[in-house]
Amino acid sequence: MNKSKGLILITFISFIAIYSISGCIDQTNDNVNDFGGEEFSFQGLDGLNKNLSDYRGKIVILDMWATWCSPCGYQMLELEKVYHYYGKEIIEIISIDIDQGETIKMVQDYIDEFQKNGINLDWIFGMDVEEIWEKYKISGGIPTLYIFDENGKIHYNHEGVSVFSEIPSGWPQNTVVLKEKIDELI
Amino acid sequence: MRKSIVKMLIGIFFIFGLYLLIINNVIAYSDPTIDVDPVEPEQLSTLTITITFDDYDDIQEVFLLYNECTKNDICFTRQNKSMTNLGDGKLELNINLEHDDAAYIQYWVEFKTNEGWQAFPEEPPYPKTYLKEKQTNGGSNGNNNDTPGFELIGMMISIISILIFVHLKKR
Repeated sequence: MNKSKGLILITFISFIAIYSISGCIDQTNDNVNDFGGEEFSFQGLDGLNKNLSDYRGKIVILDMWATWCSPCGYQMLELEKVYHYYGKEIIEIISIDIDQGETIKMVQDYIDEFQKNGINLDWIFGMDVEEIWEKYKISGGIPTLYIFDENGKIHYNHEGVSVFSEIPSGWPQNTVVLKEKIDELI
Repeated sequence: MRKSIVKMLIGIFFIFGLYLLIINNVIAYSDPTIDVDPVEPEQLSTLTITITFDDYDDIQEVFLLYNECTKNDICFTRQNKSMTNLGDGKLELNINLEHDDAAYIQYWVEFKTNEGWQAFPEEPPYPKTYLKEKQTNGGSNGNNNDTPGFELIGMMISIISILIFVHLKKR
């Protein structure tokens, strides 16, 4: 009897000890802030460093792309619809050029080309300087898109082209519709 | 007096015109030709891209940039590789395709001249070569009467070997 009581006591003390010690282990994650939101840095087209946390309080779409990716160009048209539908008070789009061989000038020229055709890509563009691509790529293809909620937590991600609200005729019926995903957060 | 002023003005205009011609004389490189062999490569195979420059003398370095894209509009990260100089303005690069779901490969050239780096084409859209789906040996007769898959033959050899070994052991 005494033996079993001793065993129970030891087990109980062990659980307490393990629980206490685990509370002292550093569980910080460089990618997550105190509220569990994601964090990354990028270089804006003005050359200044910016962070995902600068946009807390808004839904953020991270769009990973490059100038040589033609599907990414189509994605820009759909993101333009998203941006102008919801407005910058509710949503922010951060389009990050993941090709570290490309330059700010190339990105600016890309934006200017769209503008010549009457399409304003007037959200945030930036360059990947701290391996955003390494952290967030899915299977290595672009465009790849993430939707973060207002606290910076990942709500949705997708690799491939997605559309704003209507699937064009002839496209697969399982094409991702961004409005459905964004409305889940509003 | 007037005649000499007129002559002087003509001379000045002539010299100025000559000066403008000289400073605006930019070397324009003709577009290189790009050949792909085979014309319709398979996924995961090796293809050779050959670039030919008509006026190669001033070209110092040539890189081929390329990437594979799927039919679902996903493009994989681009590669950037130096080409092998074959002489006479011809450069070549062998590419090993890496993605079993790629539908096409797109490519463009960056080359360094005395005037700096240039690209061909200068901007998208880039030339594409569409890929055939890779033919696989299904490992069985399937729908035709071709020879069985290699793994089936290997299994049969193993079974026969074991039977022979067991038979010899019994003896």
